[in-house]
Formats: sequence, structure tokens, C-alpha cells
Amino acid sequence: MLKSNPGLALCILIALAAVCFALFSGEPYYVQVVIWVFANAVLAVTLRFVLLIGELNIATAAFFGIGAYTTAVASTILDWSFFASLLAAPIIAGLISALFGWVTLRTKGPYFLLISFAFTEIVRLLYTKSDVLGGNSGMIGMFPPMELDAYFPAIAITLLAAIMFGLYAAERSNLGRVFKAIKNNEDIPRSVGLNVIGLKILCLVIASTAVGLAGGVNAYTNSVIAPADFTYFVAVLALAYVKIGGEGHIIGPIIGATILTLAGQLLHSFGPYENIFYGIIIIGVLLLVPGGIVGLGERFKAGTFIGRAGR
Amino acid sequence: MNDTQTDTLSAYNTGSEGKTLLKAEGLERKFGGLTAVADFSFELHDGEILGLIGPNGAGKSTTFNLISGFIPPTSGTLSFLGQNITSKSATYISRMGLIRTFQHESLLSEMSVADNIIIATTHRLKTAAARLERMREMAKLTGLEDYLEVTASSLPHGLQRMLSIAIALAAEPKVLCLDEPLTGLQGAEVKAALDLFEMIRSELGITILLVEHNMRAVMRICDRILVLNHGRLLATGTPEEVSQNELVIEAYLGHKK
Amino acid sequence: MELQVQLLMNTLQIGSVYVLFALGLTLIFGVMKIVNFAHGTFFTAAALVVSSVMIWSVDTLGMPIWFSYLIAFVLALLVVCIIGFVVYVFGFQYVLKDLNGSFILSIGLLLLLNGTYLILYGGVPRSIPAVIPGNITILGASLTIQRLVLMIVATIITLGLYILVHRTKLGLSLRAVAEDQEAAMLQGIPYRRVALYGFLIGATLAACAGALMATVTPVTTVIGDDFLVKAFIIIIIGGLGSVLGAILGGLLIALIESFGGYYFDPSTATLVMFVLVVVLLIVRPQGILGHAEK
Repeated sequence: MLKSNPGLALCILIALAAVCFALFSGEPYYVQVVIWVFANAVLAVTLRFVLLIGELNIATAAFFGIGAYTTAVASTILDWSFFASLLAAPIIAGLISALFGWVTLRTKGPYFLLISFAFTEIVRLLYTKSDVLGGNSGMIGMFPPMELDAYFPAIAITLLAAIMFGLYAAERSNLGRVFKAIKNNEDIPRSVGLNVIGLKILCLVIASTAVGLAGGVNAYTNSVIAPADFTYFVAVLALAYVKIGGEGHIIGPIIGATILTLAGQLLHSFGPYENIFYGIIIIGVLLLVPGGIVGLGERFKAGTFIGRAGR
Repeated sequence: MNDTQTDTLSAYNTGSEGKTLLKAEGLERKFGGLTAVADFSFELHDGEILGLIGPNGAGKSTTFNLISGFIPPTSGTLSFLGQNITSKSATYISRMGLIRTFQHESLLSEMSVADNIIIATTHRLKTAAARLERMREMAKLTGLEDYLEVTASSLPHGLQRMLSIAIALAAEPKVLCLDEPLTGLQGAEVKAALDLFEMIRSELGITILLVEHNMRAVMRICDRILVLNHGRLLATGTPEEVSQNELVIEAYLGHKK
Repeated sequence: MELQVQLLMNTLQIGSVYVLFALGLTLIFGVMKIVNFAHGTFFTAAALVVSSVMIWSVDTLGMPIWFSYLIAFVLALLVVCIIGFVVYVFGFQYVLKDLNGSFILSIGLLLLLNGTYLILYGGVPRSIPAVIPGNITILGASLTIQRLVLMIVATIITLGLYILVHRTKLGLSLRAVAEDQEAAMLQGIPYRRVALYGFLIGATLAACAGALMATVTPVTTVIGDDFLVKAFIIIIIGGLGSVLGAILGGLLIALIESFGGYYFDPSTATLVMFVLVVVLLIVRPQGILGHAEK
């Protein structure tokens, strides 16, 4: 399988290299940046996964947060073990997303977009009002156990990479084909015996489970979480990664997340100029290179390398 | 205008020998104040090709949407294979073996021909190999075997029509409902399509309900014909009976003038 | 009784601003089939202009406050119209009816404009002097005259918009385009021009809301963003693209916020709104007044 897919082989190599870097590098800051790159890539990849059925799911940010809070509660309040508290994150995120999808996926397009947005903001509001969850200041003290501490970055990177490979496999399977069919024209799959609403919910649950696990990893990575970490803006940045990398292929959001996360590290000290920079990048890419970097590469290959405005 | 006598008409008194597969009784559908279909009863018998014709806006598409479960009827009942399917979901009805095609946007335009057909096999076939095999069979049947990797929207129009039939066939229908499958086809293509429908009926044993504007084709291929006008059943019978029915002639000519 | 009247007054006052804000959003959605996440920046821009102009003209030039406010109000609308025109011509006209594209564009604008405002205006909230001082008592409930006037002006603007949409030729074009763009174009309605007008009217409505709110609340560079979530809930409840839906939805949300906020607390009120949305979705996915898809 790998022989016929050199790109996948390369990605596995890069992931392995990142794990090795996390194990043997003596620079905690750089290791931290690598984890952030992987976490942001997972956010972008899961946002894109729901885009397969044609829906823009701002609640990606909410399920990332739900995962993080689940792990934090399991770890600091319930005193669950490291792995049990990590495992709880995708389960809870998946269950809540099933309920959320069951209600909201009767709608689509603008309604789903707005509801997922409102849901994200309201979940965040709930955190701020809950004393158990630490209100506005959030929760602290999620530490991996001592004996695992040195290996935690490697574990985190492995888990995050595994999520992306898993979603890649799902997209390449028949399920991915069905999701794309739903986006293209949902009447056709419905007319040949497929349960379109059920499949949409499944798509959302898969993505939310994945991003929930990433949220759990995030809780341990940062040791501190707060409501302000899980605003709709998380999904907006994820969408920027997707757009800049290109949504035609799963590698697009990964490239986009890598570039922007690294750029963000350099821009941190620029205050409001950082947002202006993101804004200009997003608008510029949308209007000038609508296919993102991946689309650019494909056009280059096809020999039609001409920029155009809009779509 | 001309529907005063429809109440006295019955769809039951003519027809072929086969047992009833699909039965509609007193089917009605309103959109707001507009009645699209009213008091429509008919039976579809095993092994026949039943035509459903009528002027534009007569309610043919609404009828298709009703029997395939895409919209629920306002009143009336539908049964398929002896089971009441009134207000069942489109998914449920298509799983029972009533498969429809669409007049417009009848394809997955952005996907390859192969993917279009494979989607339709997904519910019944669980292994990739079985799906591929069925896809190849259906593509061969409809003359698409040389276009498997072509994106559906870039197929010539005639082949797009064939593809929508291949999709429906791949889902293993007992009853195939074709919504204007001949629209935009040229002479030779029409003949090939009609031959295909005959073959589908005789060799695959699939019963066909056909909505079509091409009168000559309908007259040639259908065993029985239902004529809708203003959402009501205007006439029913063999092609010969229908083509000599004065109400039908009036309805069609009245609209053409 | 006094308390209820007071809460009702609050409802009408917050509601009238919500309605203006949501009307702009729903109008833009109706005509362009896009959700403008940068709608709050129009609101913010107007509030910032009003506060900057007033503080400068009153302190430095010594103009009478009411006169200075009138000038500031007109300038605010002008500035927002210019911003609206620029972002339409260089951005939105390329993403008409493209939900994902327009979302991304409006988010990009949100970042760009909010960042720019922060640089130009600074992060410190500023209040403007009272335009019309004094209080008034209605049925035992006390209310500043300023808030009463705000309410009346917002209601007049809403009525004006309602008349514009339902009684004028432009309104007919706007409704025709919202209903069925292709059919409207076949009738000879110039879609792109109507879309631009719809967008500018929507932006102006947000600007009116911002310029009015600046008189009763401290102005910051993110003041408009707080309205966005509520406005989304309003237009989901009212039905995307429905003018009457936005008005009813705006008042309903204000009612919940005002009474719920008093008897429970503000976040409970927000939760109630969300529960309402969920129930509505299950019962009637297209909103109270939205049209079902055929």
C-alpha cells in the first residue's frame, strides 16, 4: 500500500521524525511548538472532515473544548488515570455531538453554520458560569504522571498523528465516497437506500470524536485550560488553515496549519497587527488563490497556472 | 378545466395480469393553497411498463416525489409489496426496492462515473470487490464501461441519462421509476434507451413506471398509460385507448394552443 | 407592576436595537444568500465615529452636544457606507451565494477591521456625554429620556425599512431577488446592483444601531461583536431572510434577556434562547416565518 502511495509514506516518516524529535530534543519550547502544529492540524483536518458533507461546522471548536474539559474533570476532579481521562474525552465529545447532530443536521447550509456558531458560544458560556469547571479562570493541574512525563510529548504527537491517519483512512474508504456524494447531491444517495441524515450525523460524530481526543491531549499539553481557549475563533483559525492549505486534499489543512502556526509564533509580539495579518492572508487567499496551496500545486501540474478572482 | 368526469373513471378496470406491486389510493398533495395532486388512485402490476403522462404542471413530478417518499402526501395511502408505505422515508422505500431517477440533477455531477454507480451499491453490497463487480456490470449494461473514470458532468448528455439509469439499476430495484429519461436524447439514442427499458423489464424482471413527454416513445413501449391533468387522473388504458380518448386529446391540444 | 413595566421598557429598548442589527443581517442574507460575520464591524465603526467626533467637537470646538451628535450620526452613516461599498466591490461581489466563501471573507474582514479599529482608536472604552439629559417616569417606571428617544428613533427606522421593502420599487426588487434570483433577473432586475443596494442598506442599519447605542453605553472596538451571537439566534428563530421574522425574533430575544436576566441571570437567559432554538429546530427547521424548501 505504501509503495503505491509515496505521499502517505512521506507523511508517516515526518510523523515518526516528529515523535523522535519530541523524545530526544532538549528544547522544550520547540517540542511544544511541534505539538501545537499537530494539534492545529487536527483541528483543521476535523473541520474539513465535516466539509466533506458540505457543512461548515463551527462547533469543531466546541467539541475541542468539550474534550479538553472532559479530560480535565476526569483527571483533576475524578482522579482517573492518565489514559482513562484521555479516553473519556473522545467518548463524551462523540456522544454530545451525536445529540447535537440529531437536532441540527435537519438543517443545512446557513442554518447549520449559525447554530453551530451559537452552540459554541453557549457551551463556552456554560464553562464560565460553572463553579466546578472553574468559571472564567478555567481549570489547572492536568499533568501526565511522573513516570510518563518525559514521554508525554511523544505520546501526544503519536495520538494526534494517529487521528489524522485515521481520518485519512475514513475518507479513502467507501464512507468517504458516500460523504462526498451527500455534499454533491444528497437526493441521489437518498434515492438508492442510504440514510442521509444518519450518515451526516455519523460524519459529525467521527470528526467530533477525533477533535475531542485532540482536546484531551491539549488539556495535558497546556496543563491549563480556560473558556477563552474555546471560542468560535478556534474554528475560524482552523478554517483559515484549511483555506490556505487547500481543501481538495487532506494534506491541505495540514500544510496550512503548519505554515500559519509557525508564522503565528513569529507574530505573537505584534498585538493587533497579528489579527490584521491573518485577516489579509485569509481575504487574499480566498480571492486570489481559491484552491489554496494544494490547488496551486494541482494547477501547476495541469499547466494552467493562472490566478483568478473569486470562484 | 376538463376534469369534471374524472371521478367516474377508475384505474382498476384495465391492466395486465401480474399481481399488484404498488397501489395508490386517493393520493392528495397540497402546497399551501395549491393542490398539486388530488384523488389519484392507481395500481402498478408486476412486470408491466406503466406510462404516466400529462401536460406540464399536471402533477407528474409531485406523484413521483410522493411514491418515492421524498415528500409526504397530504392525504391518501400508498402501499408497496403489500405493505403500507404512506409517509415512510425515502430511504425506507428505496430499501424496499422502489428506486426512482430524477428529471433534473440526476447525477453526482462532481464524481466519476464509477463512483456514481458504486454509491448506489453501498446499501446492499458490503465488500469493495462486490461493489466493483456490480458497478462494472451496470456500466456495461448501459454502455458506460469506457467512461468509468470520467467526471459525470463532463459526459455527453445522452450518456448522462444512461448513467442516471445505471445508478438506479445498481440499487437493485423491483420497481424502477424513470422521470423523463428520454429528455434531450437524439433519435438513435431514444431507440437504444427504449431497447434498454425492454431489456430491463424482460431480462432483469424489473417493473417500470415511466414519466415521459415523448409521446411516440410512450405509445410504443408502455402496456398501460395513466393520464394526469391538473393533478387528477384524466384517463387510463392501453396506449390505443388513451390516444383515442377525447378528454386526453382536448387536454393536450388545449394546452398547446 | 412597576417592575414589570421597567423590564418591558428594557425589552423594548434593547429589542429595538437588536431589531435594527438583525434586520441588516437578514436583509443581506435574503439578497446575497450569505451570512455576514463582519456585520458587527459596521456597528462598531459607527459607534467609534460617533464617539470620536463627539469627544473632539464638544471638547475642542465647544459645539452644542445635540448638534455635535447629529453631525456625528451623519458622518457615522457615511463612513460605514464607504466601508460597505469598498468591502462589497473588492470582496463580497465575488462570493455572492457562496456560503463558505462569504463566511471566510467576512471573517477575514472581521480580523482586519477590528485590528485596524484597535490601532486607530485604542483599547480604552470611552463614553460620550449625554445628548438629552433627564429622566421620565412611565407607569411608575423610570427611564432616561435618552433611552426613550433611542427607542423611538430605532422604531421609526424599522418602520421606514419595512415601508422601503414593502412599498417601494427598490423593495420589490429586493424581495424578488431574495425569493428567486434567476426569475428576478429574467424580469429585468439588475441582480448585482440590487445586491449592492441590499448590502449597503444592511450596513446602514447596523450603523444606525451602533450610532444609537453609542449614546447609552461605553464604546469599545469590539462593541459590535457582542450583538452578533444574539443576532444569529434572532434570525434563526425568525427565519433567514424574513423582515417580519427579524422584528419578532429581536423583540422575543430582548424579552427573554430582560425578564430572564432579572429573574434568573443573564447566562440562564442566553441558555433559554438556545433551548428555544433547539425546540424550534425540531418542530420547524425553517424558522417561525421562514419558507419551507420545496
